[in-house]
Formats: sequence, structure tokens, C-alpha cells
Amino acid sequence: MAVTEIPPIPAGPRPGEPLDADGEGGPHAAWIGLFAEFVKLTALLPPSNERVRETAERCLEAFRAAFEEREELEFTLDKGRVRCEETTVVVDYRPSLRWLVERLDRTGVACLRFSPALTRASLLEFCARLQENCGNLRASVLFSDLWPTEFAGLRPIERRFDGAFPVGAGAGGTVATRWKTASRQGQMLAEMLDSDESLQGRLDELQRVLESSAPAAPSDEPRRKVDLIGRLINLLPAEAMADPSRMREMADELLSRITDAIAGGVPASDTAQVDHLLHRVSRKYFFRPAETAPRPKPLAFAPPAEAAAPPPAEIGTRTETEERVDEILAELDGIAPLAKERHLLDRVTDELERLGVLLHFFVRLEDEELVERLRGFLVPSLAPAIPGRSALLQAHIAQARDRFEAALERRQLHRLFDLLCDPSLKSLAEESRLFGVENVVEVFPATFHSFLDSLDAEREVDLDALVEVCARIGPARMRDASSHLALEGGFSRHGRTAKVLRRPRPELVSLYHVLLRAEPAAAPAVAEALRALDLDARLAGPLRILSDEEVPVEYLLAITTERSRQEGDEPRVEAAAGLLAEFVTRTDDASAARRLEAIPLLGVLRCEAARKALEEISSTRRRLLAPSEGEAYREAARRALSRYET
Amino acid sequence: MCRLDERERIEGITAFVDELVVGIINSGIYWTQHPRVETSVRELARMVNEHCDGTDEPSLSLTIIDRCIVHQGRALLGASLSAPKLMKPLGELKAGGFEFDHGVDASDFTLLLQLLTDRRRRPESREDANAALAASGCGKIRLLGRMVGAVGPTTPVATITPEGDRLRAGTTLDVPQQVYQGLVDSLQTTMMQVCCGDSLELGAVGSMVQEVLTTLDDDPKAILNLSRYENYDAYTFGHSIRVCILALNFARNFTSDEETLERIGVASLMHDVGKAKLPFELLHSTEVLSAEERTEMQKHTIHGGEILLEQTECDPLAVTVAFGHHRTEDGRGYPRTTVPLPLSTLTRIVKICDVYEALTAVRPYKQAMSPTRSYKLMLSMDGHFHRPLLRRFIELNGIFPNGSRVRLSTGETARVESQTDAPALPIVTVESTPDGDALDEADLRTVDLRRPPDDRSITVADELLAAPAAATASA
Repeated sequence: MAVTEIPPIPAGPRPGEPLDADGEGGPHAAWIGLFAEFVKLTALLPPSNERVRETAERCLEAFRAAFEEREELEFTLDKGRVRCEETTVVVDYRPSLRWLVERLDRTGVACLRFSPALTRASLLEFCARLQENCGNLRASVLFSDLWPTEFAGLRPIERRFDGAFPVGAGAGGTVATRWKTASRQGQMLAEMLDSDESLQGRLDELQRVLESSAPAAPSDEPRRKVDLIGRLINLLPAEAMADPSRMREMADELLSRITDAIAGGVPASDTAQVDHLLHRVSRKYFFRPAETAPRPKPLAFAPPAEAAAPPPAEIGTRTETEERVDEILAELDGIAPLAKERHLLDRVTDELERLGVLLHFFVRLEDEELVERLRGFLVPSLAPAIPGRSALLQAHIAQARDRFEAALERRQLHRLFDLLCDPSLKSLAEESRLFGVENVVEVFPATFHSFLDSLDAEREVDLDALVEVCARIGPARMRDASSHLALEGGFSRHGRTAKVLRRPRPELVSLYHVLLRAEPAAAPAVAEALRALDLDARLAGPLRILSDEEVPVEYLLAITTERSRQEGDEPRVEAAAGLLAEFVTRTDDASAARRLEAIPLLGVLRCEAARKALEEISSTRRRLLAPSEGEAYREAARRALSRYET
Repeated sequence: MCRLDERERIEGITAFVDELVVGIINSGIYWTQHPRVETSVRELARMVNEHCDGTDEPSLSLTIIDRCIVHQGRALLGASLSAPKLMKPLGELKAGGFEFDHGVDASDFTLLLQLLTDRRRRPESREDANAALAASGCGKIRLLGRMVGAVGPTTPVATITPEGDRLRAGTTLDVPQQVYQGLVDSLQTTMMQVCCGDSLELGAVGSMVQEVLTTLDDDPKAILNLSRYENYDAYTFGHSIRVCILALNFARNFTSDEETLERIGVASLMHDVGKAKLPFELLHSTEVLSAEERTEMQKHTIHGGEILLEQTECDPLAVTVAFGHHRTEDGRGYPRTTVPLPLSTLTRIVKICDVYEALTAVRPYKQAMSPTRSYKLMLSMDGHFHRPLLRRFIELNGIFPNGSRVRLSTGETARVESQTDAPALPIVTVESTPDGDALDEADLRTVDLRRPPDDRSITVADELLAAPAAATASA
């Protein structure tokens, strides 16, 4: 395979040129520092924290600037220093960097490779993974377990080579070496490089050209060789390392190419430049295969023709299929194997998905046949007769099943949601977590909205269900429910509000209030509904609504407020107060008790008109129904007035 | 008119049989004057006349022998697999085939379809049927007598004799092919039931799945080869059948419980049942779909769930699979649900098989994608699949699936026979020399690529995509 042209290596420290006094320097120091700072911050503060967000932005800005001139950045750990191209930063001088390097080291990372696809999300994912890995370390953990996938624009590279040390005299009096590697593939390659005669020849040749370009002291030669092997092991692509049968072939070609390049004049007098060269060559060789003939475009809207067989590839060269297979195999290696494969489907656990499907096709409970089918659909998912479950769990599930059956029987839809929060189902969910199922209890809020989505304002049973649910879940959640329905409009438009008004449940007052307050757009619909009630004759006027003994008094305020609107305008509190005052002081339509009940509502309105009305009622100047009743009215008015004084 | 060559002739007849089946199905769903029925009968008449013009023959004859459609002594595999709906009424009439004369018109086919689909008014015998056709003015179509015995692909025409003579014993369709035919029949019936609003006979579907399971146990290679049978049919039945076979073959590694496997088979077979409620023109459009059309197409999952939920024998597994097989692990698929629920294991399995089949199948609007390209694409689809399951699927199905043809690094072509523990190194049967010369049967040799002969390394260099399935039975 022809060597693709190696781009010129960026200018860096020249032979003999000392580094900065602090041992660091270069254009990448800025983002290296910011990156370390960001990673450490995420370990202390949540991602939503302002400081974390700000640091992320600065970090990404620094990356963007660095990517303007290059496609890739590498953050390489190297014995107390961090390097990127010609930049070297001493770890000891930066606490956040020391913290980061220590953690990367513990999780087997030799290098982080960044590309322009980097995002804030992928940085956060990486940080989260790093934290998790540091908490899950154990002796036998593999790099692929710690870092199973790459992140967008960020790829951890495995530290495979930890060095070497002499173990005694070998053949011919040379010093034998034991290789210290962090991975099995690294060990294989190191041993291969040390034992294979042909590869030894390549290494010797490479050392000769290195020597000629940058002479080193004889005592440094063994160390230089070890360093070279180490860099080779660390920098070879994972795809190459995964396939032992091809490892030798690739090592041979890589050494050959590097030797040719250096012999051709590429300076290789220091480690940074050799690393850079190794990296460039390996990338060119493995990640950018030679150009092939353009593939024909797929046929469009034409009948399928006999596919032309690809021409036979030259024997010994790699085909596109082989490259693809290697990529697939490498990808598969990075995926964790299935857990509990053998009995994966002995029990087909899909309770949550069944429940979700049920919610989507929500129950038309007046359809008896459908109810029966749904009973058959859901109850088996709660069947306790599954081996392996604890007796306690089975008892819980049996109880949940009974409650579910009862709920279906009584057409109490809201009971279904009780079951979703049932502790027994929580246990079931925990069991199901073996297969990646989430905790069902946490689903409740979204489940409730799904329930709302499925309701139909035309159906009595849906209305009953809504009332029941709202009565139980309280005002806070009811706001969600009613605003949803108010937006829909259908709920009130069909006069169902009348039934709501008639229910003697205090909880429904707040429902009605929320219906009115949730969205201004709801007001016309509610007013329209009120006007459309079949008791229209009795409720034609506001005072008649107020006089209706069947309407709970708590509704009076809401009704008068609503009635005070004109053509969708905001409620006019003053006008509402006037209506209430008129109602209280009139003696024609409403009972005394009813009017007495309405007085405190004037205290709620808290407006000038209401206050004046209360003052008037509390005074003895107005003649009311009966003297005995008058005192009760005045006392009630005085109590209501006291709210204005607090 | 240009004379048709052999291949064109066979392709034309297969297409004619497919259209005849479509006509029968449409007649069973719609009324006689429905545009779809009228289009079918016009097309049928055109195809017969074109055949006669192109072959200089006075008529087109098709016989049915042992569940196989035969034309001039040659059994047509593609036509046979998709034509059980044609064979059943003929069997009830004790007829053995059709003869269509040159000059037949659409009205003749209208009468024929009425006769085949109206069970209440259908004559009781072939002779009565021919008499009824003649009395209605249909003189260009006749039902032929039964042929007894078997015909193979190489049986000469001269050995086919009229009714009463017994030929060599044997079947033209092997067991896996018969199973495939049965599955097609089940799916065609299901589709008609959905369109007519009738209840689905899921018990019958379950029985067919049992047949698939039995065949997977007895002769897995044969039925898995059928999973690669690239026959595109008008109603995507082939897709559902292939997904079912792939899913069962996959699921067998995770459980041996027969009941569970049957449920899995039914669920995977029915996963696209909702498409029966989509507009025909949309379902079979070869143009790029607009956003609105795509939205409409996506509703087939909801339709499928509704259809299955309404059945008295409704299996929750089938409902969840039909509903959820286009949802993704990261929640971005469809249909969107307010509740962010995870997919079940079975839905994940069917999803993988569904996408794999769609990518590797031949369609009128696209070429088939090779398995390796499909795997690479599926592996790159982040968030779509359950990755460990996808990994296992690839390992079990094989980088080079059983039955696929490959070119080895030696230049020889081979057929993959079975998988090994090295996914990229299967056991193959070498079929041709590096120069492309086919080997004689006696020279075929089996090679385990993990341990090639002479210690030389042999790998698979290329995948050879099969041509669209020939209309003839394989020799």
C-alpha cells in the first residue's frame, strides 16, 4: 500500500532547546487547564450550576479556537506531565490537572482524543462516566468495561504500556526485558516485538535512523527502544490491537513506514515529534484507506436488476468488505454482552410496555367486551406464578391484581393510577430493572398526563373519573388537569360543568376555581357552558345562580367572578362584589341562610366595593328580613370586615 | 411485438399469477365495480394478451400440481409461494388449473374473480364452473382438469398427461417452502379480515408458527434460506414472514419454551398488521413520501395495536410489538407516548429483525443491502436498538449469514453453510474456481475458514449479493 503524504510536523521545541522554566509551554495550555477545571467542577457541582455552565462555555470556546487549525487534539498523559502536540504542562503545578490525571490514570486512560464534534453534552457525559468509573474500580475490570463507548468528539484511548524493566541476562548477554502492559493486547504486541525476528529487524532499522538523525548516548539506547515500543503499543488503533492475526502485519508495516519517513528527512530528534509522526502515520494508514473507485448510486424507482458482482480484489490486498468486517468486529467488542442470556425470554417481562400501550388506547369502559379483553390483557402481567419471585412479592402482586380487577369492575379509572404507584409494582419494577426497565413509581406524573390525553369530554364515565381523580390528587395537580381541559374547551362546552357544580364535594370548588383561573381563554367556554345548562331558566341571571340552593355556596364567588366578565375581559372584581352585595341584601329569591353564607365571600374579594358593602351590611341602617336574622348578618359582616383590617 | 425470451416469459407469468392473487384478494374485500378490482382485471387481461403476443401462443395455461404452479412443465417457485389463495378455490372445484385464450378481456376476468370469491354461489364442480363462465359470455377462460402426481423443474412437457394418469411420486415444494406458502396464506387471510372488519383467526396463525418452529428444528438451513428469499409481493407479506423467521431463530437461543416461542412467532408475524388499514396507494408508493404521508404511514403501529387489542384472543405481546416496533431506545421513534416507557425484550428483538430485513431485502425502489453494510448501518444508529441484543443478533445471524454467497480471499466463490465461534470465519462450500468456473458437484468442498487447509489464511473478501429470486424452482 502506498504511503500517503505525511503533512509537515508543526514546529516545536528543537533539539537541545530547553523547555520553559516551569517545564511547560505551548499554545494548548489554555484549554488543557480549562478542561481540567471543568471536569473537577462537575465532580463537585451539578451541571445546572452557573459556574459549571460558565466554565463549560469557556472550555468549549478554547477548544473551538484550537480546532480552527487542526482536526484533532490529543491530551496525552506522560509521567507527571500532560502533552498536546508541542505543549507540555506539568501536572504538579495545577491541582485540578493533578486531580484529573490521577483519575484518568486509575481508569486506564493514556490519552484523550478530541475532535470538533465535541459538545457540552458529551463533555458532561464524559465527566459523569469518569466519576462512575472511579467508584467502580476493581482488580479485574477491563478498559472496555470502564469506557464502553466513545463520546461525541471525545475518545478515551487505552493505556496499554506501562514500561519495562530488565529481568536478567538473556541470549547473547543482552538484557532481557519484561514488559509491563495494562492490556492483554499490549502484552501480546510487546512480546511479539521482542521475539519476532522480522519485527526486531524493523525496530533495529528504525533505531538506526533515529540515531543518525538525533544521536543518543549508548546507555540511552535500551530506554529509547522501550520508549519506542511503548509508544507504538499505546498509539496503534484499537481496531488493529483487537485482531491478533493482523497485529504482526500492521506492526511490520507501521515500523517500515515510520522508518522510511524519518530516513526521508522528517526530524525525529525528540519524543514529541516521534509521537506525532507515529500518530500521523498510523492514522493515515488505518483511518484513511486508499481511494477506491466511486460506488455506483443505488437505483431509484427502477425494478431490481441483477446485482453486479464486485470485481475480484487483488490477492493479498484488503477489500472494502474486509475493512467493514473489521470495523464491525471492533464495534461489537465495544458492546457489553447480554446479561442472563440463556433464560432471557423464559419470562417475557413487558409489564410496563403493556401498561403504556393500555394508556395510549385508553379504556372505553362502557364497552363491556373491551373491559373483558383488557382484563385479560393486563392481569396476566400481574400474574404471580412466576418462578423465582419471593413470596412477599407474589403476595403484593396478587393484591395489586385484585385491586386492579376491582377498579375495572367499578369503572374507576383513577384506581389504575393507584396501581402504578403501588409498592408491589415498584418491587416488580426493581426486578425488571435487570432488563433495564425503569422504576414505575417515577412514571406517575407523566402517566397522569397520558390519562388526561385519553379522556373524552363527551363521556360521562370520563367525567366521573376526572372528578374522582381530581378529588384525590389535590389542588396542585388539579391545576395541571384543569388547565389541560380548559385549553381543550370541550369539557365545559358540553355542559358538563353543570354536573361539576352539583357535586357536593368541597374539593371540586378548587377544580372550578382552577378552571376559571387557569387560562383566560377558558372563561368564555365556562360562561357558555353555564348559559347552556339545561337549568338555564333557573340560572339565567347571576342572582339566580346564586339562589340555586343546589349550587354549593363555595361556588358563589367563582360564579360571580365569572359573571363579571364581559366578552372575555378580565373579571371585574368590583362588579363581582356588587353582585354579591346585591344578592345578600335582596330578600326575594334566596333564603336567609343562603344569603348569610354569602357574606364572608365579600371578605374574600378584598376590593373597595366589597368593603363598602360589608360596612353597609354591618351597620344597622339597612332593614333586613327579620330582627333576629339581622344581628347574625351584621356579625358576619363585621367578621368579614376584619379581614380588611389585617 | 418483440418475442419474449425465456426469462422474460417466466417473469411475466409470475407477475400474472401475483396479479391474479391480488385480484382475488381485492374481490374479497371490495365490490365488483370498485376501481381497484377494475384495475386488476384490466391488468390481467393485458398481461395475458401480451404473453400470447410475445410467445406466439394461442393461450396461457397454468396448472396446479401438489401446491405448485406449473407452466409448460416448469414449476414456478415464486408464483407458487404467493398463490395459495388461488389454489384453494380451484381445489374446492376439483380443478387443476386455468387456460386463458388470446383476446381475453377485463369482463372475462371479472366473471372469473366473482366465481372464485363468491363461495355462496360457486358451482360445485369444474364442469359446472366452466358452464357458468360460458353462459355468462366468458368464452376465453376455462378451468382445466386436475393433474395427478408430481412435476419437477426438469420434468419434460411430454410426461405431463391429462387427468387420470399418475406420474412419478414426489412433491415439488419441500417442507420449508410449504410452510412459507402457508404463512403467506395466513397473512393474506388476516389482511382480508382486517379490511372487512372481521375477527382475526389468530389460532390458525399460531398453528402456522408451530410449523415454522418444527421446521427450524428439523431443517433450519432450509427455512433460514427462505428468510433470504427476495420476493417482493404487493402486500409485504414476505417481509412479515421473513421477520418472523429471523425473530424465531433469534429467540430460540433465549428460551426453549414452545408456548413462548409460538407467541413470539405470532407477535412478529403480526407486527405490521396495521398496514392493512393504510391507503393502498400510500403503502405501495414508490415516490418519496411527503411529511404528511410519512405521518400517515407511521400510524400503522397504532392501527396494529388497535386491531390486535380488539381480538378476543388478543395476546398482549402481539399488541405491544405491533404498537412499539418503531419506537427507539432513546424515545425518538414513533408513536410518541406521553409515558416514557422502555421497550420490552420481544419488541427489541422484532425491531432488530424488522430493520435488518428491510435493509437486506430487495424492493422495487431500492437494491438490497449486503448484511455487513446493514450491520454497520444498524450499529451506527445510536439510540435505536438495544446494543447487547443487536450484538447477539449479529453474532448468531453471522457476519455472513447462512446461505449467502461470498468471494473468498483466494478468488473462489462459496456459499456460507453455517456459523462458527468466529463471526467472520464461517464454514463455507466452495462452488467455483478463482476464474469463475462452477465446480462440479463432486468437486464441491467444504472449508472451515477458522482452519483452512494448508495452513494458509483464507478470509471472506466480498459479499456477492444475490440477484432477485428467479421465478423458477431452484435446480
